[in-house]
Amino acid sequence: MAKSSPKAAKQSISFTVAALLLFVLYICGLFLPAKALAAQPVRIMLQWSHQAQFAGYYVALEKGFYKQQGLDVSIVPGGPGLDPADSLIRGEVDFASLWLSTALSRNEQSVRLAQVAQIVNASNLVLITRNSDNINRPAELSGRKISIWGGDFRAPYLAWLQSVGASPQIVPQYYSVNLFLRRGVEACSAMYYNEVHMVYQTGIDMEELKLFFLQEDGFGFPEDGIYTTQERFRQNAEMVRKFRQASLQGWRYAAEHQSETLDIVMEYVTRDKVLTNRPHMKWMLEKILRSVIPDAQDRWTFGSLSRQDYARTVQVMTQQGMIRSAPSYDEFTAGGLGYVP
Amino acid sequence: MFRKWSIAWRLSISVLLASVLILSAVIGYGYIIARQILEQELEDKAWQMARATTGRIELVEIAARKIVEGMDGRMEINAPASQEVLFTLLERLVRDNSEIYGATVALEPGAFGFSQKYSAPYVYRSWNQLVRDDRGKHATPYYVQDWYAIPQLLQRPVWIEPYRAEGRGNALMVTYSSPIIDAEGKFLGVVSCDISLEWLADLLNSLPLGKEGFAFLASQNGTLISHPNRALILNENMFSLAEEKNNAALRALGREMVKGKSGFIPYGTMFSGQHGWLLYQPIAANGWSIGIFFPEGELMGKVAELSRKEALIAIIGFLLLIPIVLLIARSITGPLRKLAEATRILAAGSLEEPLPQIAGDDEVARLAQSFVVMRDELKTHITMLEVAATSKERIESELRIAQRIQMELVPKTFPPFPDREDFELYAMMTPAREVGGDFYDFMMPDPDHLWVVIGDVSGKGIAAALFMAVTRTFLRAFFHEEKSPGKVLYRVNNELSRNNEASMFVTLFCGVLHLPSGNFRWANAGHNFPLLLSTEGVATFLPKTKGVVAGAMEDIQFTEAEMTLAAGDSLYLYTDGVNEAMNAADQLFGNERMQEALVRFGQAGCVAMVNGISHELTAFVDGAEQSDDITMLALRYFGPNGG
Repeated sequence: MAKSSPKAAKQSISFTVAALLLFVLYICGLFLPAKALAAQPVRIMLQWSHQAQFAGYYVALEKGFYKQQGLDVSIVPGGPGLDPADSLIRGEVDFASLWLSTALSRNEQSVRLAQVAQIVNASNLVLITRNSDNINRPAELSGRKISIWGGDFRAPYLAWLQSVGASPQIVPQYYSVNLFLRRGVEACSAMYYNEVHMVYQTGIDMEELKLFFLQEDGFGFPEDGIYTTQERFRQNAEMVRKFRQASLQGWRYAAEHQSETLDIVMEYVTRDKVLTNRPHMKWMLEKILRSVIPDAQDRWTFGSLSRQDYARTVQVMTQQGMIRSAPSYDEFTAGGLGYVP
Repeated sequence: MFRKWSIAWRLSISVLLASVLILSAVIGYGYIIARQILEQELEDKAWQMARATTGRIELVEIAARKIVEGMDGRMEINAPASQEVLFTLLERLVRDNSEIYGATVALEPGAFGFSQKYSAPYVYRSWNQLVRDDRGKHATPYYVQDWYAIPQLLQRPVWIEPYRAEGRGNALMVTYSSPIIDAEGKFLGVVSCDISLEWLADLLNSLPLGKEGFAFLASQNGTLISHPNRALILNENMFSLAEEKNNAALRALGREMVKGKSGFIPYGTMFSGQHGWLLYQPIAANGWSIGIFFPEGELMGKVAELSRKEALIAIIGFLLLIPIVLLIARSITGPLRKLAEATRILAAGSLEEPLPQIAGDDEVARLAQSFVVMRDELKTHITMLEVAATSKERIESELRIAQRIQMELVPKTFPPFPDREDFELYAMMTPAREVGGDFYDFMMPDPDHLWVVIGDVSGKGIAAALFMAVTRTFLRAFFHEEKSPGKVLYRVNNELSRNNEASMFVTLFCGVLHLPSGNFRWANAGHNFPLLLSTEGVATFLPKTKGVVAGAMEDIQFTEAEMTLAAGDSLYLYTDGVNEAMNAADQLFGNERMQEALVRFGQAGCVAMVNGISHELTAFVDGAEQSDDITMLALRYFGPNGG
């Protein structure tokens, strides 16, 4: 071992070369752009457990769109007993996915919120009835027992029922549609992208159901949007803009790559042990994308809240006594941030 | 196509094909019957199994129901005084009922008057200890949850959809909830108890379903509560699986199941990718449904194995059958082919070729023997034919020679004496197909005498012809030497009788006409007497003389007779071929017809006479075959100075 063999010499040369290479790489690393090394941590909280309703954010994260903007995003799921608006106001998260009506009512109560993007521009609110119950027009709901969600989802239903002249007996509806399935009520509120398909997945065929879409009677309002606080926006408008851009990029990618997106969604739900299945997520993804990406007939713009829709929403909420006042459109949308540049 | 094949092939293929068909039918029938029997047995067993399983599940559920309803009833009668009372009650209940994981009494605010807030005393098991909890203090209010809200709104007890209990080991749970309603019908809260469903998996796994079989439970909504693939539990339901696989039949089955129907159906590849049967039956106590899948492969394995073995035996048998059938076919067609070959050679005329030797006594062997017999007979026949042909040819050549001799011996140039005006003479001989032996002759040894003779040799052929030639030679010699017909016949008879080993004889009529006087003398050796036709047209036979046939015996005297012919008289000499000619009706021409014809034609001269009678004769026989020579000679005397 004392003598140096040719083989040992060769090895030592290799080692030297490797060490040099590592050193060069290290020096190069020092001069790389700062953002790549230290991405800014950002948290967004969802209204509910992971599901296809939030596909765009998963895609933005998984495809590295956030990273490209120098953001290190964490997606925090919601769920029963969790309120993303509360978390946002308390400063636990930087962004929250909220309904427009939720944002408006919360805005009034405490901290001023700023809309970063209006993601879901079309309404998905539906009232489900069974064909066998023979409710052919909304007015025929009068006198029947129906279940309607509480909270921020309630206003559009009440306004709609009022306008169609229906006065049913309304019982509260919580997380499940089991009351409707057990025939405790003849109608129940539902998201087209979610509960309608859940009912279908209990073996009731679509032909056996009659759906009333609130949007068809002019009671469709914009739904999910990304919100932050006015304060955070003022502090770090650049970061907010980047988050908006990357999130919209995620949604657009999701619309263009639905199969890949579904795989990503399934990864999220599986990891989080959300009780659901792939066909349901597929349905949800297809339906939510229809209300996120406009087609030729839609009069709204991808990612942005229109002044008209804002005004309409404020009007109905005021009428229903959900809010007393609302900020101006420009203030609410953080000085036109919501417009696509 | 088929007809072009050899018999061996046709026979082999037909037999083998039939064997395959029969074997297939037997195996197929056996398979179907065995399947049916097994299916029936399986179905019976499946129903028993399903009943036993649902029975066990129901037992637990019925127990839970009784406990909840008992508790409920008690509270409706005796209002509890405090939360402590409720906890004590619940503890006793959970402790006494091992099926129960936990129990709750959840109250409306102000119920029973002891709490204004939401209050829900809850007792559950944890590591064999009972733990107290107040669900009214949880983050999620209980009034939004199905176990509270649904009995509240439905005003009746319900089984809640199964769920995973977070914080309780993520155990699969199901809750039975019953509303507490006071005497006035006011809703006070619910009593509920939670039952862990973890034992369900063990129960279903313990079913004897083999490796591939499995059982599953679906809730009222069709959600899978128990399934060998644990990842599916609660996530998937009958309808999501149907949707995922785009399988309408599976969705239809799910609908049947959630509607509480039961059935035993052949189950395609809906779930597991294998064929089999699915039994489904509701669990009446809570509206669930159990499904038990029996894979076809495993159950029908034995039948398939049996059929496989049968098929193997059949194939071996079939393979053994091939050489046997070929052997039999060849044993039949081989000799036939050899016979066919031999027949071809035989047909080519090689009668001496050996015929194939075929052993045994079957049809083919007998056929071969027949061939040998046929060949031998053919040989004999051909030999006989050859012999016959030779003798016939010899006979025919003999006849030809004899005929030539006969025809050459008689004079055929007429008129024979053209310069004589005192008589005319004409003769005709028509030989029968086989020579008879007739002849005629005439001669003038000197200008005043005319000899005429007519005869009929007995026998046929060359011998007869030669005998005739000899007779003629003698006659001609004696016509020169003698003047008397009786003397001529006497000498001829003696010459012929001498050395007559063949015992032949001849009939002869012989006469001589003295031309200057018209005197005609004659003698007769057994021949027909000629006719005389007078100028008045009267035909009479010449007077008879004594004498027998010549050549039979020596030293016979022949008497003579004589008459003088008037100018114009004719003599008509003939053989028995004329008057004994027969027609097809076996009638003889006879002397009378001959005489009539003679009278009718005789006046016009000798040629007319002979030809006329010949015509008459031809007309009479009317095509019947001529059996004897026909010979006629006519002589007309015109007187010494001519006509």
